[in-house]
Amino acid sequence: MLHAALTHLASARRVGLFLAGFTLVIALEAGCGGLASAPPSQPPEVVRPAVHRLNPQVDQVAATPVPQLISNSLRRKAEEMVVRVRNINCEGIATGSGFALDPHTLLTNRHVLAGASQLEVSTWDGHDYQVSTAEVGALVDLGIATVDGALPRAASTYAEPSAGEGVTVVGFPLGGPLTFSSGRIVDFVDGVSLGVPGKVMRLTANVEPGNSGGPVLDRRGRVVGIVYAIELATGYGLAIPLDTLRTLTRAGGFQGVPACGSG
Amino acid sequence: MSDYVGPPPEDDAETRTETGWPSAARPRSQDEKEPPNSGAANETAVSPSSRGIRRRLRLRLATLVLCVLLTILIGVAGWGLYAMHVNEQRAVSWQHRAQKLQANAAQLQSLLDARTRLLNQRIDQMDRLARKLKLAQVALGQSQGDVSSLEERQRQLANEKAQLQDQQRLLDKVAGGYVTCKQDLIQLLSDFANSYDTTSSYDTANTDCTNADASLQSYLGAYPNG
Repeated sequence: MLHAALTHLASARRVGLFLAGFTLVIALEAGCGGLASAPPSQPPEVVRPAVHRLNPQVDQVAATPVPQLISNSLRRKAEEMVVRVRNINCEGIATGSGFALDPHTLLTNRHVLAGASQLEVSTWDGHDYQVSTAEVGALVDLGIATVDGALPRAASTYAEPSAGEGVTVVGFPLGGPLTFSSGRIVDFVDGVSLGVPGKVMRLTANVEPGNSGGPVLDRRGRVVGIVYAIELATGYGLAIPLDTLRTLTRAGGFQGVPACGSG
Repeated sequence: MSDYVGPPPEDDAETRTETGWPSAARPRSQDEKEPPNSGAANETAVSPSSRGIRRRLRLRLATLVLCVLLTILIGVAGWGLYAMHVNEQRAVSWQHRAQKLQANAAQLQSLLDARTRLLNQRIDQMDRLARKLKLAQVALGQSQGDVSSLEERQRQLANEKAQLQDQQRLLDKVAGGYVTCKQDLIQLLSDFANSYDTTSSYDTANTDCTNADASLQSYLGAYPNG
């Protein structure tokens, strides 16, 4: 009986071993037979294409400000709008300054035009214009003339300057070359005692004979007044503000140029 | 063959015999007979027929276990085959996907190469333009300097021209005065030659010539060197 049991057990054990081996084979086949191919062990190499470097000159050029052309400068604009006025009269020749209000009209002082038998206008670069008609203000030292041909540049105006503001007087003092004289507005005073029935602007900028009729420019190149005299007591230049000019021109209008010797 | 192959009844120590079966519940074959007067002997000895029964029972049990194991094995094998199939499909899918990605990467790489070449061309052009611009800036600075010099010279010449024109106008005035003076003198001489009254002619000539002299003096005052 024991032998039969052992035999039976041995037989059962063989069957079990067979089954275990069979199971292992199937499992291995099932587990390994269907394995996909393995991915590459290393990631693909990424080759970045080389990029050229920008020349440092590019930065330098980009950082360099574009130089302002002379033709665009405020100085050039002022030069182009201001003219030299030659007054040929019975007593000889007088010179003064003026500026273009539009391509055919220029403003100056009455005393620059007064007594003229012939008026000639010159620009900073030597171009000459003949004055065809001229008038003067009845109440204010203002002269207006029209020229044959077109003046290079018309002025822009600004009627509300304030005391202390920096200004530049442009003109042909003593009949010489065009000059720029910087200064500031001292104050606005009553001009009755100074020959103008209205407010007058006093300037620290150097003003000489020949500057008469020239413009007073603010820092942006706009005309804020017209030079007409020098205050002997203080040496300040005197200029007529634009609003005074307008007021007195509306009030008194214009009249013909006084003849030579008529005062 | 027995018609009973089910599990033994519940274990009951009082009814179980040596074979593990309760004596009352143990199945009996047709050829198995109760030996007469064998009460004590039955409790200690097993007959050969009962050993055959046990062997058959164990064989049946082994067969049962074998069936169960085979079922499990078939199930495992089936599951393994199924997993293998699914894994293969997924691997193929991954492979396709990787191939597509590789193709895309290759396209992107070629595009990047092209863009890089273009960028390099632009950079080279920019470098060349910068060099030209730098030279142009230097040239512009020089030109501005030249223009400034020429303009300064132009201002000087314009001023000289204006001064000369002033002088010319004054000389014209002086010359005009002397022309008038000369004509007055001619008229005076004519009147004198014709024995006319020369008083008026003389006054006119005197005035005009005086004015001409005044103009000349004025001119000489303004331009001492002539």
